[in-house]
Amino acid sequence: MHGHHGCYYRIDLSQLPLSQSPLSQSPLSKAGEEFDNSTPAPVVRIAPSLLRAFVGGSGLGVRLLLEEAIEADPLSAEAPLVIVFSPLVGSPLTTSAKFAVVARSPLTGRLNDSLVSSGFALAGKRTGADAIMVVGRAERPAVLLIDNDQLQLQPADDLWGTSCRETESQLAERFGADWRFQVIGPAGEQLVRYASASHDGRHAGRGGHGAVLGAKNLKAIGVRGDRHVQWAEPEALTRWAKQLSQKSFGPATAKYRELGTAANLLAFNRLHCLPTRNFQQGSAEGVEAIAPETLAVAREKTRDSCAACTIGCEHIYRVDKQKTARVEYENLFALGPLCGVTDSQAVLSASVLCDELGLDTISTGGSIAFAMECVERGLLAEPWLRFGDANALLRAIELIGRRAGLGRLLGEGVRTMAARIGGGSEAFAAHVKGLELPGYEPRGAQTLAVGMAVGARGADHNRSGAYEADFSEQTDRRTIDGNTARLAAEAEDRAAVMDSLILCKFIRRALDDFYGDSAQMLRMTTGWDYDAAELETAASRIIDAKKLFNQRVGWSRQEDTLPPRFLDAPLPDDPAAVIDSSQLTAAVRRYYELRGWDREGRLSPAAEAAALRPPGNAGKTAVDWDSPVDDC
Amino acid sequence: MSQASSEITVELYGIARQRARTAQLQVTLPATESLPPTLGQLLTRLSQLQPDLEGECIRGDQLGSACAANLDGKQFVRDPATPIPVGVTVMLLSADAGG
Repeated sequence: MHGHHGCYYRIDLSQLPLSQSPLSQSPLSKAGEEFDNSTPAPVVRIAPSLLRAFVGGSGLGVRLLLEEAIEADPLSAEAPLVIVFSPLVGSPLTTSAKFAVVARSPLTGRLNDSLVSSGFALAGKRTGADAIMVVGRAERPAVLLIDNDQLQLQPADDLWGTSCRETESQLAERFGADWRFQVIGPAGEQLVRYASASHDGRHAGRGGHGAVLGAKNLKAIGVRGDRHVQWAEPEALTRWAKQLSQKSFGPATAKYRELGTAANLLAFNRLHCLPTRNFQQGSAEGVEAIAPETLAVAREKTRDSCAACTIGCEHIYRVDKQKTARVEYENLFALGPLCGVTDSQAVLSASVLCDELGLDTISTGGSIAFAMECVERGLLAEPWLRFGDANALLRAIELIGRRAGLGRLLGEGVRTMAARIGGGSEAFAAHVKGLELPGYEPRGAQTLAVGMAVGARGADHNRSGAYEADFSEQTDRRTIDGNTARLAAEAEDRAAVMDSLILCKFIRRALDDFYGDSAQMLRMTTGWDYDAAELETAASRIIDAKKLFNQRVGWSRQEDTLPPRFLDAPLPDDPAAVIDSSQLTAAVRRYYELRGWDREGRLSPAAEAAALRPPGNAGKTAVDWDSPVDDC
Repeated sequence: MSQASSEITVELYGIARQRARTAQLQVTLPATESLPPTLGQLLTRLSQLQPDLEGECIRGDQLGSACAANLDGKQFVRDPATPIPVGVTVMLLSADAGG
């Protein structure tokens, strides 16, 4: 087998003995030490046809979870979480050092598939597995170490309570440079519903993977290994990778290199697409102060990139003498205009605080902004929490991360907050399926509005990708018409493929033929004769698998919509931007038709079966579903 | 007979602003009521006024692939033949909205 190992590790923490040596006295305190007192990792074979059908990353992760107890409470010991690599990880292809983290979300109760970058992907795949699944619960705070196929669970009481950055730093110092760690911060320990898992400052954000790991008493997962896969066409792959890298230096990625994702900010403000004061408006006064064009002049700035990336989209700004902040559009919007704050020091400090506590910035900002509006309307008796108050923003984040005071409520997310606060607050709780909306005003980006309404994860711009159509000549972004559902579905398909390959979406404009180029990359890595048509089918299959996951965990048709704030009411600063609820309903129904689902958005029995066990491809290289694989 | 003209406000965002080193330009183009200037004519003139826009953001009378144009904050356009009515502001911004 090429590109894949053909197996995953299924690790039950409840069955894994806890090493008697505390972390500070670990025999692994120096790099290269023998791994004593370890347990062999339980290996589960993955049939080649399954790997081919679901590709890797998000797609493979969802499929593997369909074999598990996904109906269990996400914070229970039984709940599974899987870290998934892909056939491109470890290849010379730029932006390929990525992994997916997939689980049922404690925030939404629905599928949660996150993507993260950098060295953990490379080291994780070198352990010899295509995925690492964790179930069960450690009896006390612990670090799970995976050294090739050997496991050790080490007590980590001394790390409990430390920030993400400090945890990773201490672990790196104790274990050495060949280990990579994914960690949780205090927010995950406190089971904040949108706590993230962090690696090298990059977060498996949205939906609460940090809380899932915290509920398992898992402070960190460490990986290292020396088991490399082979590539099917190594010379062709190297040539192709070189060409892709060259393209990645061109105009298709200039925005990311020079300004980062924050380049969106001023344009969105001008287009009234910048969510402001809990989506009460689409633009804000004073946002120039937090735009990258201003920050770059006013502050010391450095650039960085993920492992194996030639784009270098990370823009890191000096906050104070000790701290720097990696600035992205989403954390600028969520901790800035969404909360009515345009003070750059406050927004950057808030961003750093979220990183250290291990909090998803979008849900953090969304929850705080919602609470601010509740205060404004007299529904919440916390007069200190006002829009535009930078100190209040920072105080609220601290409370969330420590689950103290009002933080206990804020840490539940806006859907639960609205249910508890009442008073009609559900009408302006900005979420879909419980996931807080990202930095795109839906009334000004209505293809994305449909994409978020139907998305398996909830209000997620990345799994949808439909904003591309909105900010192009393909459609009128302030209207839902007969093409909207098709555009949303097509964008979602492309996102599903990218999230399974896995490649960073920022490279997408450097691909000349998306499906053709993606198939080529898979042919060169796996040796399987993928073509564009097969990948289009795979995209649909992956979307079906995500729908099947959600059906099993209680999804209903009523979830595929937007909150009342966004329906049949114009955006105050752009009166032509209105979402007609009947048009949204029609578009959702049309989306179901395009997916081959019934009128209620459910998979047919045949589609369910296909999502679990895809048929063979006539005329293609025979891949027997149950054929044995080489030893992992 | 003197030729009529149209003055167009061009707002620059993202990479276009980085290249032109300004947030806004005023561009005058020949026009009549029945024959307003086109996007292609505007891009050609912009390229002359701001040569650093040529290549990445503008290619002759066309938008570069990484650049997008929007009329008055409403409609995204790409066809060089698109008329620009009097009084309409043109935004040039990065095509890739993601992040």
